[in-house]
Amino acid sequence: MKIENVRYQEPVVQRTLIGRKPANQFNDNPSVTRDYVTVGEVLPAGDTSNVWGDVPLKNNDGTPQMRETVASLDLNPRSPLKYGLIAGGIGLAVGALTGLGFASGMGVAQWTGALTGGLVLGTLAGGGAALAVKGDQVKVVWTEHQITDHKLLGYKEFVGPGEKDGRQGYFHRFVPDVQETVIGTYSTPSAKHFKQEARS
Amino acid sequence: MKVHRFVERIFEPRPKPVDEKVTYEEAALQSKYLGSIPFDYWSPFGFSGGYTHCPGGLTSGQSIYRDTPVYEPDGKPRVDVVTRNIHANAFSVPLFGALGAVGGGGLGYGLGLLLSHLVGLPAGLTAGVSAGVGALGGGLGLAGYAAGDRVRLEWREVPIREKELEGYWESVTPHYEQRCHTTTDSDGKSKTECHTVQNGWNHTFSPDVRYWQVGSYDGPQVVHYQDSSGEWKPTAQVKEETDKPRDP
Repeated sequence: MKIENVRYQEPVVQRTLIGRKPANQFNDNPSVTRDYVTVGEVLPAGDTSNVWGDVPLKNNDGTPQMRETVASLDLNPRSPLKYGLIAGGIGLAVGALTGLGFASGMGVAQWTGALTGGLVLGTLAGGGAALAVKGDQVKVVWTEHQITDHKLLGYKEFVGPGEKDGRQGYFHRFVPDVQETVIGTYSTPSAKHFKQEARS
Repeated sequence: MKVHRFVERIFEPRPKPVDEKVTYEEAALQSKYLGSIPFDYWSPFGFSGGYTHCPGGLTSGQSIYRDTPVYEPDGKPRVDVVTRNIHANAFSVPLFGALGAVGGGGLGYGLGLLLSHLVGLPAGLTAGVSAGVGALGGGLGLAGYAAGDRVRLEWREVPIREKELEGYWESVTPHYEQRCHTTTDSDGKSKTECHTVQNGWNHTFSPDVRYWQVGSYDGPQVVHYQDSSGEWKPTAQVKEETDKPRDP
């Protein structure tokens, strides 16, 4: 078995409290108080709710903190023998049952039908599967991801009609405006199966 | 005058649909393994059945998954800002008219047959006339209802529910099989006879998942209502809850 432990760096991301906003309200007022409120302005009286975001931890110089992670990757090519045997076994069973069913209708002995059906379908399925994975190779590929910082800029107010506890009124929704900034990238490894292109 | 207004309404152009882009905070959910219940099986015996109380379920068997909330570090359910396009039309007058005509016609036909049997009138004529009246009445009725339908986007408080597997029910039902055998008579003709026999019992298991509310969010809902009566009739589309509330 060829299992490779591949080391790579990933950012340390924490779910962090990035600010507060007014809690949603339900009342008789159909209008928006203020379209947009920026962070730092005084929150209106009433309940508030926390705003959370995925925030990467940073070094003193502002770069994202990274930690080493190990991925165990299975780099074994698919075996034509193994896949052929599995598919051949399934084909053998299905073919034998089918042959058994057709035997009496075709006027041959049941064991002949089962044997013929099993051998034909088993060979076809096993051979097909073995051919399909023949020449399989595996390589490590790296996928790049962005490291995104989140910062609360403010919140928007939306108003819509609705019903709560049997009473008609207006829902005031305070939706946070969270800025996403890409502060770096990192790459993660994975195993990719491929076939060598035939050389001309 | 009323008839005139009714006919006018049926031929009015379709009312304005709801077509809005909305931004709101929606509960973040994750598929969570709640536990397992036994696999269904066949048995020659019909014993047991009923309810088994086992909080958290079994360690192996059919896996039971449900969408449950993701929590923030302060223990409150997480909500994410989402933007969705909401599109909905008022009921279609031709579609509802056709459905009403088919339903009314069928009902009228059946009633006509019954009437002819009871009173002794010619069956074909009575059923035909009755089906025609039923189709006209049903078609106009549902077409009129659809013509008065309007839609608008409203908001509702949507509960966020945590769930747990409390136990499971076992249902035991007879297992039937069809068995056939072929006989050949003295003339060489084969005859296959089949009959259904009971062979043992099927044991099927269903989970008892209980929920309780851990928070809520304000979500959009398309509401249908009748223009004339002003009667509000929400028809959409709160996801059907198949589980039961947790006992207080």
